[in-house]
Amino acid sequence: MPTPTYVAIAKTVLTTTQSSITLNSIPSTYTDLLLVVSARNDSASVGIQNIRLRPNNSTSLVYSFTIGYSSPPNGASTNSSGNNNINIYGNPGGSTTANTFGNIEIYIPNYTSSTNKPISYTSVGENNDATMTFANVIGAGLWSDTTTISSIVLQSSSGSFVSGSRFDLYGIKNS
Amino acid sequence: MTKPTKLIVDCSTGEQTVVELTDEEIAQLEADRVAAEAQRAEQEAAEAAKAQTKASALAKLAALGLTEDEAKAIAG
Repeated sequence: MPTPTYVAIAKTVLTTTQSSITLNSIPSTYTDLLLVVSARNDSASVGIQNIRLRPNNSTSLVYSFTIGYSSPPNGASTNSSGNNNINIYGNPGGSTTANTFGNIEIYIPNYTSSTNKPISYTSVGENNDATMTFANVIGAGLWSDTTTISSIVLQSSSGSFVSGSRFDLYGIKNS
Repeated sequence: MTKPTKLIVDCSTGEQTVVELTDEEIAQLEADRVAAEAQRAEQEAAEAAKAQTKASALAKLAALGLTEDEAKAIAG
């Protein structure tokens, strides 16, 4: 029988709109973290927006990231550094299909290590409109900080997260 | 006017607390939104310029006698 390695740490489903979610007191007993998000924002006339991810609520200008994204009829990519957060795309707003939520998986390996922290993600922000820019995104970023991650702040870049948005945090052990 | 709120989840206890943003947090939120909007506008302008350049190149290739498929094969 394999040892359980995938453990639910926290789950929250919003019942009211919230500008951000803070996951505090993350135990340091796992190897990696997996954050699964299903979100939508209440901003009226926007397409796929991002979620600002900040470990330990750090706003230092030490984040960099690269994303590959759908830009119909083609794909595109962009790269950015010296930011105060990592942009996680997949947070649909009012100009996307009504009442749909974006789906995002964010992986943070070795979150307790004393090295800089890589963060990667995949997202589908819109599943009914193939013409929507940023509907599908893969991204990888780096938080250049050697501190153990004990909290994660997720902030909607536009409007607030709507009721029904869901955030699940899992801890993954390597043994 | 009601201030925006944030949800704080304590992963060690499961306790969830809704807290009003402080004035400082609201200011940071606003600054972030302005910065994000500027970045987005810059990105969209760059994409539009790229698309315009590609359309211009395709038109010039067509003027040389290439079919649309041939021009697109070159332009990618």
